Formats: sequence, structure tokens, C-alpha cells
Amino acid sequence: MELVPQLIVSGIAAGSLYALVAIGLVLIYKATDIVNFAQGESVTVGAYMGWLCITQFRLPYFVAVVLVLAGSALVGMIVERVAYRPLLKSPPFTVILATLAVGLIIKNAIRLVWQDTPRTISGVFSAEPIEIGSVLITPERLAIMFTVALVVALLVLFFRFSKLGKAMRATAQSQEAASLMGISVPGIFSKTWALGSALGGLAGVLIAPLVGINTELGAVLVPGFVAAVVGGFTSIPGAIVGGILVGVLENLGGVFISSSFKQVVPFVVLITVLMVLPTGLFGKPLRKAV
Amino acid sequence: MKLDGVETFYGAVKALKGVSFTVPDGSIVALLGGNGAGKTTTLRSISGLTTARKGTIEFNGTRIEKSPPERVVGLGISLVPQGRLLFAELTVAENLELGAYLRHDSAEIKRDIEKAYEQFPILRQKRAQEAGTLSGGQQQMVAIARSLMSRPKLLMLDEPSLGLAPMIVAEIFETIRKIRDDGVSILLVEQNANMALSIANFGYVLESGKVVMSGNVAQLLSDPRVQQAYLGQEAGPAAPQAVRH
Repeated sequence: MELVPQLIVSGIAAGSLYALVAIGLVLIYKATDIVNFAQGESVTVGAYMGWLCITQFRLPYFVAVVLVLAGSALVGMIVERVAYRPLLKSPPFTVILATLAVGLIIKNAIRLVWQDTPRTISGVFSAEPIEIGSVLITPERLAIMFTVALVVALLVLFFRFSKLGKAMRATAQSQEAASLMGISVPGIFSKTWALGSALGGLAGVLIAPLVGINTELGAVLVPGFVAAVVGGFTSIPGAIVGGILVGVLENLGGVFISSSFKQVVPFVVLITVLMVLPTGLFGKPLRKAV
Repeated sequence: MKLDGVETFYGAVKALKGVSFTVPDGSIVALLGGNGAGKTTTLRSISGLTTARKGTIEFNGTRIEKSPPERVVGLGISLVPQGRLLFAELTVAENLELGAYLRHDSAEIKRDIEKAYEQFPILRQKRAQEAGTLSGGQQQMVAIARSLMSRPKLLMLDEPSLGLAPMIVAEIFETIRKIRDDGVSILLVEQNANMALSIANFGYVLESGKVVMSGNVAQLLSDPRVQQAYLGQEAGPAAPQAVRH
């Protein structure tokens, strides 16, 4: 077993989850110019809902995933209603703080109910590693990568071919023109927040078997945010590349520098990107404000 | 369509100070006036992009002064906004499809897209291209075709000639005339008063948020005030026809 390829492959698995969180952020940002700091709590809610459905209600895994998607989508819609819509006329910074506040409320509401006791769920796939070429990987991690790839493919098809997907793209480009076409812009916002948040929830239920469930799971917002920045914050492919990059660099940094360095890696990546390439890998050049 | 005493504000600034006029069915009505006269605001108030604070707007017996844009489109009023506001990163075909967003008759929508390509053959060639990559004239064609996709009864155009070469402008105006002949009423806002009055049936002149003149085209063309202010001619019946520079 060689170390570096091994670290890269497991980094890709973690990174694909960061990518999912990042895509959720990007979708909402593109539609509404707001970074949703409650996105981490969608992850937490997704994980807890997964735990409830699977461990407590003994529902089949796939049913649980569908319920998680619906539940975390609802979280997104609530955040939109509470933190975004009433503050439409406020500066973006105010709205971003409001999303942060709603996120804190959600997190602490969960803590109130289930305290800080960590929970776990077991995934459907085995955690016994198998050998592919020279690297070992668990079917669990393979399934995560496959699921994320599938979700991304579905998203691409959705935005390209469905009426709602096209309406979302149109609204992201010009809200005024979209409303002139008969598109209800508030409705599109609500659905975009739901979709972005559902992706976070999916990340939560996928990550739960790997890292366990606790109220601090929302901290995955940090690598997710960095992934989005690396990708330019408006690009889905950018968010995927960014997520994988952060995941891989975390792994490499954790082994070759020090294990406590792992948590620092996303911030190092963030600062480096902002200094060297402020618009990210896939971002458009900044327009100068007149 | 009928406006009665419409007042619209931008913040504390009163942009429309009681605008009243009608657009008779099947006619082209030109809305003339200088910069800041309130022409664009009038169209925005009708389409619901800016809500009128006072007055009434009635369309086919329905009051629409408080309706949001998506409802106004549904009732059959479509706006081709100033600057076109195309979905620049979407293809020409996608722009047209979105114009039919409220419709559910997909076979008819396909036929209407086909019709748009017949009307503007260049758009057929460019249909898979991002709308933002087209020339100004082509973008104006997309904007008009996109608005027609909702099958409006009233089409409003805000400065369709702005920034376009004279030959293209003539083509656009010919298209507008054809659209009227198909039975769609037209409300046309133009800086280019000569051009607008050449195809219009009626005209209204706005000045600082008020209708100051109205009449059919012959009346407006022979009015010395209109000639002087908007047609660039000397006042008086004996005025030379040449355009002054």
C-alpha cells in the first residue's frame, strides 16, 4: 500500500462531501447573493434525521434518505422565510448574520433535545476496506463518492432540461426579467434555498456513519465554504474541484505536517486562494463597482 | 388598457404625477417625451415592476395596478424592457422557452418558437448560442420574440431602437407593425419620435410625469410644439422639412 495515493483517494471521499455542502452554498449564493451560514446546520439536521429514521423508527435506509432530503429542504425554506425574505431591503451582511443566527438557533435546539451525546448510524455499505489497485478503500466511502457523482449528474440534468431548473438559472441572471416572464421570484428563492439545503442534509446523512453524529457536525461548513471559494463561488464544477482539493490537501497535511494541522488546512487554502487568485479557479473576473 | 391618475414614486421622488391615457385594442400607441419624463416608469407601473401608489390601471376589465409582474404577464401584457434584459448566459432557444413560462401547451409552444424563427431567421442559426453573445440588433429580436412567446394581447416596448443601426431600427419597426397587424396592441416608448410616429396610430407626450399632449398621429405631427420639442423641426406651418442638427 502506497501512502500518497491512499491519502488522495480517501481525501476525495471526504472532499466529495465538502463539494456537496459547497454546491448548496453556491446555488443559494447565485440566486440570492447571500452566503447561507445556516448551511452547516442543514448537515446536522440531515444527520440527526437520518439517525432518527434509521435507528429510532427502523425505516429502510433509502426511505430515510428521502425523508432527510425533505426535512433539510424544509430547513432551507424556513431559513429563507425567517432570515432572507423579511430582510430583502437590508444590506447582504445583515442577511448573512441572520442566517448565522438561525443556524445557531437550530443547532442549540437540537442540543436541547438530544444533548451532546454522540450518536451513530451504520451505513448500508460495509466499512471493511477492499483493495483497488494499490489503495484500500471501504465500500462505504466508495458509495459516498458514487452518490455525490450521481447527485451532481442529476443536478446538471435538472438545470439543463427541466422547466424549474431553467427558471432558476434565469432568475439568477435577472430577477426582473424572470418576473416579466411570469416566474414568481419569491417562489424560486424558496425552492433554491430548499434545494441548497437538501444537498447539505444529504451530506449529513452520508457523513454520519464515518464521523458520528453530534451538534458540532455543522462545522463542515468551513471546508464547504472554502471549497466554494476555491471554485469561484458561482460555479458548480468549481465547487466540486474545490471540495476535492480541500479534502485531499487536508489528508496530506494531516499526515505530512501534523495531525492537528488537518483542521488548519482549509483556512490555509482559503487565504492562499484569496491572495493568489481572488476570483477562484472558475470564477468570473470581478467587475469594478462604479 | 386604461390608466387613470397613476402616481408612482421612487422613494420620495414622485416620478409619475397622475398619468392617464388609454391604449385602444389593435392599435399602436406611442409614448413620447424627453429623458426623465416618466416613460419607462409608466411601463414599469403597468407591468408591475414598480407598484403605482395612486390611480388605477385597468386591462380588459381587470384592475392590475397592485398586481405583481408574474400576474400581469398571465393576463396578457408583456414588456420588452429597456436594455432588453435577456438571460445572457442562456441560449436563444432557452430564452424563448422561458417567454412561454406560464403556458402549458408544449406543442403550441414549439410551434410558436418555430414561428419566431420564421420571423427572425437569424435566430434559428443562433438558437444554441448564448443570448449574450449576439449583436445588439439580434438581441432586440430575441427580446421581442421572447415577449411574444407569452402570446400577449398588449405588447409594450421600451426604447427598442436604442443603440441600434438605422437599418436594424427600420427592421424592428417593420416587425412591430406586423405584430400589430396580427392583432396585438402595442404601447411603444421611444426617444426617436419620428420613427415612433411613423407607425403609431395615437401618441401621448409625457413631460415631468404628466401627459401634456395627446392626439392621433396627424395631429401630433402638425403640432408646432411637438415639432419643435421632439421632431427636431422649426415651429410653424411654413417650417422647412429638413431635420435640424
